[in-house]
Amino acid sequence: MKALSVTEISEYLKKILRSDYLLSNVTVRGEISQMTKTASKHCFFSIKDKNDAVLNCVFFRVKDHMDDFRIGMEIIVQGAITTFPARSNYQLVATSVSMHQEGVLYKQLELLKQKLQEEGLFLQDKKRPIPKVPKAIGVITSSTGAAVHDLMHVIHRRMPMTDIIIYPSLVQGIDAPKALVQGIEFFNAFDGVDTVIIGRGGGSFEDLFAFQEEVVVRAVAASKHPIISAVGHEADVVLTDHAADLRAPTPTAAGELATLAQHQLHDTLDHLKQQFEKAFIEKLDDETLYLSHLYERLERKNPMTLCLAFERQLEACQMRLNYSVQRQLEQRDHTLAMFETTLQAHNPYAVLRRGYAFVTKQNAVVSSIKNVKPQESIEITLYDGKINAKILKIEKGDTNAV
Amino acid sequence: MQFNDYEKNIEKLESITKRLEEENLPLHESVALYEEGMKLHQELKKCLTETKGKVQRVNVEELSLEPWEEMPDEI
Repeated sequence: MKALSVTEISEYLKKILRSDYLLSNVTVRGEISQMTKTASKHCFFSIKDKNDAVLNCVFFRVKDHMDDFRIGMEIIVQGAITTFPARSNYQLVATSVSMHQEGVLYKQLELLKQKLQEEGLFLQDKKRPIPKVPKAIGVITSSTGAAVHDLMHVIHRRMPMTDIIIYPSLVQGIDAPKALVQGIEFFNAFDGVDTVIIGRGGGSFEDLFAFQEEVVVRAVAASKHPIISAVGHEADVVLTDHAADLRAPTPTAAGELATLAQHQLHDTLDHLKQQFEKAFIEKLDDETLYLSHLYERLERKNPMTLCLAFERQLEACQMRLNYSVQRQLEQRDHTLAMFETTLQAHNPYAVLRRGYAFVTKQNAVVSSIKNVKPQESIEITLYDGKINAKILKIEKGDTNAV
Repeated sequence: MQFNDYEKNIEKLESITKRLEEENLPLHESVALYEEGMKLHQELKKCLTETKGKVQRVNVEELSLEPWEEMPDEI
């Protein structure tokens, strides 16, 4: 293979770049990182981006307007990428250079932010707490699009009892700031809401610009009700975010920040119930304890208790009495039995069985012949019956002599 | 009970609890407070579970409230 000269390869590269559709007319955005103007009115400068990639640029025979450009400014350069064979590098040969619109806006925004900050619109101690149990929430946003639906959904999922009042507003375009301010003013004049949410879903930097407008920021700062700014996505921070009482990263998050989850309300309520039930039960326990203490004291002096004691004493006495009486009775019984035995031994009728008899006259015992006369009737009692007899004869005799 | 009065009634329930916790409260008052607290709790619970919030929109021309309805052609 034939070896090429350096010039040949350089020329080839130059030709390739020139014939490239994109590189021959390209628009590049970047921040000026270096700039030199020559006496011959050429301007050599570099632009870089946030990754620190650097592109060398040159603007030949620039007019006066390049005087406005400073290092650090975001600009847009249009031109062609060419090579410079003598240095083996490439550069962008500019045909026009302009300030990047966002760069300008950023600058203006920065100034506005600073001004409002100095006025105290963003002071932390001016921030009001967001009511946790809002009866009604005012929402200023577009009535179409995902944001309003997300908000309604989140608010009613967490707190179904909260009323939502939507102020449909333009959220981008030239008339948006006025509409947003009117929304805030509407709620200022309306007592029926506890919190206001102002916001919109995601969009480009320009789309969100209404929320950077001074009138809107001032209206947010002056809102009568606590206000949450919920604009775009997490990464988008706009001036209303600083002016509001609370910044929500997204409209959905605003719905969450403006409400408690329903279960939290139930938990609070249940906890309160437990607390007052506990207080009541303790009260009852105290009273019960006191009552039983009183009862004991009273019981000690209860006449019934005293009576019972007497009664028991009485019972004991009675028992003793019964016992001693019974013992005496038993003793008597015994003595009686003994008498009976003795008596039995001396029973005169028992003698009759041995052949003896006794004589009575008119139921009186005849124990001597002197008691009777002949011809008188007498009664002779034997062991098994009686004999009526008449005395025939009386003979005196001495039975002791037998 | 209106949901509007929810927080006011929560505060009331809290003050009932505080009162119940006082040492020298007569028993008959405790019973009355307890009954009041139970009733209030029940109403609050009912209010939490049964209240359904409305969604309304502002009629920007007339500055009046009307029920929320989808208006897909609106920006």
